[in-house]
Amino acid sequence: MIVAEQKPIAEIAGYLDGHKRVLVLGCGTCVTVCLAGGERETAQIASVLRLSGNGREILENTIERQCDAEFFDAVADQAAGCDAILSLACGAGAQMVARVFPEKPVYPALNTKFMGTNDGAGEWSENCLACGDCKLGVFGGICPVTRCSKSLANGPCGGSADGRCEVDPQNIECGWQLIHDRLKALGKLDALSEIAAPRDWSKTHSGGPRRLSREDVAGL
Amino acid sequence: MAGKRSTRRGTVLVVGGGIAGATAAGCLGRAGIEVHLVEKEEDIGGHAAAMGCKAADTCLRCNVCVAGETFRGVRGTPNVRLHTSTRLTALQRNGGPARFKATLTPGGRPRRKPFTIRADAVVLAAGYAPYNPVENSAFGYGSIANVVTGVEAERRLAEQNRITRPSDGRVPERVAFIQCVGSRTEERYRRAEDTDYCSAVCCSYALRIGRRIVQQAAESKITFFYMDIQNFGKGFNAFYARCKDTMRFVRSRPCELRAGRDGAVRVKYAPGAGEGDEGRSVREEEFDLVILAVGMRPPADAAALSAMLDVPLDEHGFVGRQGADAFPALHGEGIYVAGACEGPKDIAGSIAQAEAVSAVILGSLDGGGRAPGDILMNRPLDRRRPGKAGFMRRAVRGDVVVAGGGVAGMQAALGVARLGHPVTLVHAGGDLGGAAAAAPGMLAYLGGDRKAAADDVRRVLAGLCDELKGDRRVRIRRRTRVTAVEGELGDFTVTVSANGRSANLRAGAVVLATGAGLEPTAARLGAGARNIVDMTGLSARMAAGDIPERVALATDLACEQGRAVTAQVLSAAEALREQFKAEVRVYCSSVRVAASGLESLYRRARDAGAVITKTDARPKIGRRDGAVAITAEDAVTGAAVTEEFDLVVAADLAPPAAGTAGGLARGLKAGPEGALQYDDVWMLPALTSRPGVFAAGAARGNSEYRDALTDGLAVAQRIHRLLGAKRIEARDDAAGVDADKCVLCLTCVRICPHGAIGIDREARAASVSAVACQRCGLCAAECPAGAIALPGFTDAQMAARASGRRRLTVFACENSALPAAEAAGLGAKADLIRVPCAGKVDPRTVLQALESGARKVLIVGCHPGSCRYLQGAGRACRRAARLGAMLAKAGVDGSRVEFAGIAAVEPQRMKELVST
Repeated sequence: MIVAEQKPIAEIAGYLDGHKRVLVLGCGTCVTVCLAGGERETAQIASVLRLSGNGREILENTIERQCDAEFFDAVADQAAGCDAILSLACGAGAQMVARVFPEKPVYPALNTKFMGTNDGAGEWSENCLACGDCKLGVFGGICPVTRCSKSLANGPCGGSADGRCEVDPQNIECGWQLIHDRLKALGKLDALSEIAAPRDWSKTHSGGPRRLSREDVAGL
Repeated sequence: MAGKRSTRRGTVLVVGGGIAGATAAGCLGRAGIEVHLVEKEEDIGGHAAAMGCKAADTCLRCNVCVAGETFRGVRGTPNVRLHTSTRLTALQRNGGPARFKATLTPGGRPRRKPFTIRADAVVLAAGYAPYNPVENSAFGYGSIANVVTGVEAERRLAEQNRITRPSDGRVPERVAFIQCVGSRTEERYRRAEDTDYCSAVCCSYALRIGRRIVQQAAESKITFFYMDIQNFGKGFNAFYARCKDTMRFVRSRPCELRAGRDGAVRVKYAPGAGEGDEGRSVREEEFDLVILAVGMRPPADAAALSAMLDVPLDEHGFVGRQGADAFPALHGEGIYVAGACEGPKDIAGSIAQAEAVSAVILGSLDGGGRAPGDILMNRPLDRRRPGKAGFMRRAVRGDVVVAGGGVAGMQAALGVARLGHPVTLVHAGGDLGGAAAAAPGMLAYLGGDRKAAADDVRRVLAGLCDELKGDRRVRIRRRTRVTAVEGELGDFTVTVSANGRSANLRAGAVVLATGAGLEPTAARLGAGARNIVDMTGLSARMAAGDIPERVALATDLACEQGRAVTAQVLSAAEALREQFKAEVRVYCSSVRVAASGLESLYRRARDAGAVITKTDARPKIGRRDGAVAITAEDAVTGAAVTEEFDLVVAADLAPPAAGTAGGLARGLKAGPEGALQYDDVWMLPALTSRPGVFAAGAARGNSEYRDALTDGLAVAQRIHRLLGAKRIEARDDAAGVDADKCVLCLTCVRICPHGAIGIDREARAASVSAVACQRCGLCAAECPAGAIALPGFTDAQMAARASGRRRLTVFACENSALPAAEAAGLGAKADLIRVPCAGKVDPRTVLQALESGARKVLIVGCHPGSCRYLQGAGRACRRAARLGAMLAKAGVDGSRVEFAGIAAVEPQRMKELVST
């Protein structure tokens, strides 16, 4: 799931400077689940903006998903009457708002953080960088690209101590320690004697923005 | 739910309307027993009703609010008749049912005639008398204005919401607490009413008041004069650490107090190590206020009651006996003793004992538990009659699974069996009896000498074993472990595993009595070598007769230990001296003697020749030429001494580094230090966060042998209350989920304090158990999609109530803020918006109130830690802080949203809050 967090309210208010009528638009999918941009958060930001005054009119709504154009039909009228839209979606959703309403300035209310797991109420962690070439099967189900701070492919660096990563020993586990422990538990440690070939980074964002097309579904 | 008015189901006379008496009366009345509650004062409440809530920034677990709730509740409990200003003046015994004929004599005016009642049983809950230091001239009490007792400090706190000086009403800056006033005094130093036992409650109340003073004025300088600081339960280590950060501790007993200038009090004492002033044997220091932490004495009428009821007094004048076999405080047929008249006890201990006694009485009267169970934990009885509409009725299973075959588990199993419930006792080991059976010699405080104590323990355990084996309602599964608890109150599925095979048991309630979940820390010191062992290793060596010449017993190494460990260490010290003639030295930071008999054992161990060294810094343990050397700095003399030993026993226990059994039951929120009981006052005596799942004995906290027995019966009482009528009833107003709006984010599943929410796979939405749901609304306030509603408090209803208010808008928790406002006489003036819990207050509602014109919104709930719903107040507090910060950054005054904690017993605080 995509995990996001709200921007500081001052930054949000700064964007809206000079706008008279703003639609605060929530998204009902990932950012609802990660408690950043659902109906509740949308209502709160809208309220706070109204309380901060400036004679600005604030409307609010939450749609199913901001990364699909069709869902915006439900707010077309509201959007038409506004001179700006504040999107509580991830970066993808906010860009879709801009595409659907080309004449409206769109501002993000969230910082999109990562693709990750929910580790308990109010806690999330990053687990996937969308590298486009998944090797979890080799590494015991733990991703060296994401979980190793340096994305190393052949074992830990010298900064691994007591199972922690030198980048932030308090908060980051050494991904390679985890891979080693897990493979050991599975009796597959010998998988690590194979040297992993250099990764093809062109399959990631390094090859430019990626597109995906299913020819059996698309373009007919 | 109100039970049907009892027909002839038995009558019980309860003597004493303090916390123990009121608790027993409430338990029995709820179960349909007719109760006469006799109180000699004008009102029930005893000492506890005059105490103040000691919450600082969070609840400090003094339980005064719980006592207040008990007193409020018992007034409305069906079948309970209060006789205030009335004394028991005669008691006759006859044969047969209703064997007691009691003469009750009302006092006061107009004068009323004595009358008689008949009763099947009598509960003696006569309370205690606070030690009166006026007899002891050294403390200047009565002659120096600003020397007060702990009792008076409590009363000032209750009445004024702060501690002030009697002389000028000012908030004092320099405050001294003198511990053990009247308690723990050796014979040769005793004056007047001084006693040698530990009163068990003074460290806890004094430290709490100290924290409260620091919180009310951060510049306060608090000094504790003490001998030992007693550990009063799980969570103590964290609490004590905070105390040490903010207060000064001086290990010394002041010898004289004199009046100084401007109301000051001069305290003369011998400074201990680390206090500087080398070469000066006595120092005098000035304080603005001195609080004497006075202890508990037997009640004034103990002797008269003892004679009237033909119940023995112990050596200190408390009612009843204190040995291993004295429980359940049964003295002759039909007479029971509960609370502090039996020995020093805090509110929690009194409640547990009163509930335990109630279980025994219900069993003997064969009549209780016919009122349908109320699924709302620990709430005052709902007196509204169940109507047809809006009420739910569920059949529940009457059988019980008890996990753990130690004393708590055995007693719990027997307790519920005696009340008619089939029970399966699941025991991981072979022989029942747990730690007590494994080492009865380590409980030497339970008798006048160690042999008698061990024999008593063995006899009690054998008695429990025999009764369990002889009861056809009891099934014992040995070498079996509970691996999972699923389901809900009235219908649990308990998975057990034995020899790699698992099976499912069904039960209406589950008791977890699986021990402390702590492990010896000796291994961390390099145990395994022959000369460093833990307590189990010592027991084995003693059994084998393999004891060398020089033995050290060290404790408080990894963290501060509790009474149970002190009992083991002192028992071992005495036995090692007497049986093996070993040289014995005990190292500890404090000697924990807060249980009847422990101070005597401490004295016995020293008389036998064991040497006690108290240290503030942890002793260093190292090896030296085949021996073990311990270097310790004596806390009193400051001298660092290294001694060699042939055997070192590291007695510490600590939570295992890896997680504990908290995950056993889904949604069970664990407490500190591996306890299965969540750390919240409303979990008393033995509840867990999940309705229908109970924790007893060491599994829930710092308990000793008798606490474990008490817990077992208290649990039985609670289970019978829930399952005795084979059905439960409640208003059908649990939180509801709108499946169309639910996004399956699991937030509610994870935050529900009661494990009441799961996922309905068919509906693809969260689903709330109407039985486990406690109607707090935490889920509704947190759902990011607005999919959950609590009937009566829906978003629309709350918005309507919060709108159009101009001035201060107060959301008031119905468990704390509302009753406090009522007690303060605020009534309609304050114009409060009732909520079931501060945690129900949705930030959106708060913002709506501000938008509709409120100048300020105040959310008043319980002090975090004393929330009826465990985490509601804490969540409300954090939400308000987040919202306030957000508003401030948006250019709105952040102080327009605030959270405040309060207890129902703090009307003065409520007045101050609403008037700001």
